[in-house]
Amino acid sequence: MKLEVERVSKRFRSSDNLPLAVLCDISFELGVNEFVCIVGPSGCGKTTLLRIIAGLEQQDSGVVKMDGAPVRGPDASRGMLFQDYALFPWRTVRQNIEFGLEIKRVPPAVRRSISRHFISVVGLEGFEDRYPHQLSGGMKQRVAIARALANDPEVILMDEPFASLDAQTRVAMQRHLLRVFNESKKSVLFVTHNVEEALYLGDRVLVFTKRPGRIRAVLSLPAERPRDLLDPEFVKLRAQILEMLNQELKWKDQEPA
Amino acid sequence: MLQQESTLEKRLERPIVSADWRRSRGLIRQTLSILAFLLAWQLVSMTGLFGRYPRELMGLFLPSPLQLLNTITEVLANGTLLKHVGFSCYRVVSGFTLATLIGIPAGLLMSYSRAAEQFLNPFVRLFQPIPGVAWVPLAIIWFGLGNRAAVFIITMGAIFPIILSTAQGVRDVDPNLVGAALTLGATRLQVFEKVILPSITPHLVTGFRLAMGFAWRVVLAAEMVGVSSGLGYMLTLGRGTGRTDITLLTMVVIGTIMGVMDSAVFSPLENKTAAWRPRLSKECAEEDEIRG
Repeated sequence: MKLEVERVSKRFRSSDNLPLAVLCDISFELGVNEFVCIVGPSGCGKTTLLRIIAGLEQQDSGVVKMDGAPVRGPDASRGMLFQDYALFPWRTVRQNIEFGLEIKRVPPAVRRSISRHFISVVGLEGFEDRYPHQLSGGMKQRVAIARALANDPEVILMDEPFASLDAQTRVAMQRHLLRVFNESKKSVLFVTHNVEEALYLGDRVLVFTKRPGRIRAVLSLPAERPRDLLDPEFVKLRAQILEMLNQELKWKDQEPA
Repeated sequence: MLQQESTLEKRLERPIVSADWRRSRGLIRQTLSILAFLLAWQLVSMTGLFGRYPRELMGLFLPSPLQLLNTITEVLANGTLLKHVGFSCYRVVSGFTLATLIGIPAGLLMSYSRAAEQFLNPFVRLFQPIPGVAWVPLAIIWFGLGNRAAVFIITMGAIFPIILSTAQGVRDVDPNLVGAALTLGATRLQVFEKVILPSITPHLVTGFRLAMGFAWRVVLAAEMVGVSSGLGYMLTLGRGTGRTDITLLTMVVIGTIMGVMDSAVFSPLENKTAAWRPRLSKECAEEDEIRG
């Protein structure tokens, strides 16, 4: 197992200083070169879980283990893609992609050849010297992916990375990501609220409950890719997941205000 | 509505002018404006405000630009100008450096440690509104008439914009950028060097610019009342000895030094950060040029 999450729980303090449970007893595993998607209603703690796994946030109880060793803080073995891309605005595309290598003091010539490789992987040739504000959303996301890949992490954590893209770009980016995933042999944990996206990308899908987030169901998907989401099996899975999410929302409505 | 459409039409009908010509046209207009100003000044001075004042007195009231040309050769030749410029610059640079050396660490401390912020904030709030000039009497009592008093006053005048812009800069750092750096393997020190510093640079340039403006204002005031050297002293010297031409010349020199400082130091610094700041990017600059 690459990554093990064991009974992780997290509470925040709400504005009126009452404890607010966001994650409750989360346990799952992520295998080597496995692609796991998490879907759940908004506010179910998906982002918090990713941040805990990345080491950017501290859980109240439970452990996150990487190759058997407990995670104590952020490091380069778990790369993270942020919803808003989090590119360094003062660095060009190339300099953004080379950031992690610079941190590791990789010699400039090696850095150059690695960044050149990943720029071509994400198809950004010709944009090496642009600054982030000169790029479209899809291009920024590709820079962020290249930056994470160039750093050669074992696990990539993705927080709704395609949420702010238009439908077409989104589909293109999903294909792109799958190709990269197949070539790079990384493990991916992918948070989304889009059921189709989860079914198209994942080896497994974890369905979360509403807050406090628990794992409601784990679905294993057929191995073959690319997938035809119109295939009866996927249509059935999709209906199943949507039904679960609907129930979550209904319960929420019945809650006293 | 109709009005708007017609001006829009007019705008569209305007002939397309080449960028080169637009630029030189701007330059010509600016030169003309300055020349017109100098001409008016010369006329007023020569005619005694068109006969309203005796011409003999105009040397005292308002010496002409041509007279100033004589004065400048005089004060350059006998070395007074350079001497006093040197004194003022020395004070400003020392005070400013001192303000930076104390202000940046103080600002960083305030933004990194809640306790430091709570300890330092009352002082910043208490002293920041006091203009640097208000420190002049106290500085003279403490340090006597001289460089030390001047440097102290300048430091007091320049330190607050630096502290505040540093602290604000760190507060404005995008936490996701810090998170991104950490998950790419950066240590806390590397985050500081490669994320915090570049993020706060634009804030720092703004703070430096403000601080430098304060420093000059304060040094002139200090030299006018206390210290008997520097450009502020030259201003009062001119008044005291009836050499209004020297006072006027000193004003021109002060304006020039501040202008040069701004365009030689701060504008390049600002342009450097403008490359990656969308709001100040090249496209915007070009747009401004077209509008202007």
